[in-house]
Amino acid sequence: MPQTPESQKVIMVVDDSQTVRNIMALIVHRLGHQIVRTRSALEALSTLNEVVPDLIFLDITLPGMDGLDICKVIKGHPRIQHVPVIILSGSGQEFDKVMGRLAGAADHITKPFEPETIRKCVETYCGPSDPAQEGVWQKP
Amino acid sequence: MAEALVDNVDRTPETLSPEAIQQDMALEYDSMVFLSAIEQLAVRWSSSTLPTSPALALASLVDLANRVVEFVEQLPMAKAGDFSLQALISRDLPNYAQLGLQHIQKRRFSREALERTVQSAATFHLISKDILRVLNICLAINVKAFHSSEMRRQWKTVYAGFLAHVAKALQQVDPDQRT
Repeated sequence: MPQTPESQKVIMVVDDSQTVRNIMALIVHRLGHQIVRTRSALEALSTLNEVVPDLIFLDITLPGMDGLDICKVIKGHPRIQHVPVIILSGSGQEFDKVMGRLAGAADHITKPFEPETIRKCVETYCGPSDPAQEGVWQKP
Repeated sequence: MAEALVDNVDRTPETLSPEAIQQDMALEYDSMVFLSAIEQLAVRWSSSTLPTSPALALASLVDLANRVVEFVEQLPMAKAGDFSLQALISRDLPNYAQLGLQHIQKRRFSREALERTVQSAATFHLISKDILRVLNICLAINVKAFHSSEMRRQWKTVYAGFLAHVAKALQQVDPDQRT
């Protein structure tokens, strides 16, 4: 069942991998939210001029400007600085996590990830999913 | 400009049993975990820190292909149909330029056997195309395992995008580079 417009959030993913963007779209839709997908810093910043998402998943390695620099731009912009940013990276190294925190990111997720990790993160920063969505991936 | 949102077009509702819906949900979850993992293997080819040599690319491709085969083997319909890599390749043998049964050991691609074939650098692209063909068939089996036609449609699109990315990355491998 789709969520009501009030509880439906807009979640942005910035990743140069089409596959990651597609997986994120499937997860976010399954949770009943909307997704905005962008593949580069330029696209992301351009989209953020038009859309203020409720949560941003940001890949650390992007063509042009990297995710950490985009995060700093977001955190320096009064209109969008309140939006939580989650860094996605292919490395679980402490250095990346620290750099993410320093750039203003709220959290860090290491790829590959499980849908459950994304769900928990979405619920932490956007509130609980619609009860109809609960246990959506529970195995029989 | 951001990509269009995933379409939410209402389609004719299907009548699926609760069991079928639950099975689809479980398969969707497993497929997401699986795809997220193999995407990280594929990313190696795009990494600027790694040389795009045939030897490294072949090792990654074998790793990826064996993960896919392992995943498909666990699907109920594959189990029921007694799926095996050997049977799959035997059935499709005339369509492979280089790939043969000699490249399979213990139900998986053998990196050593493939390396022997790829000793001639020019064969790298031929054999990688053959392996991509196998991946395509395996992922199509995964898609068919969904009961819901909407999920089949979604996953067909997602896997097509993934395979296109892998194919493009493999094309960038320089057969003349040695490591």
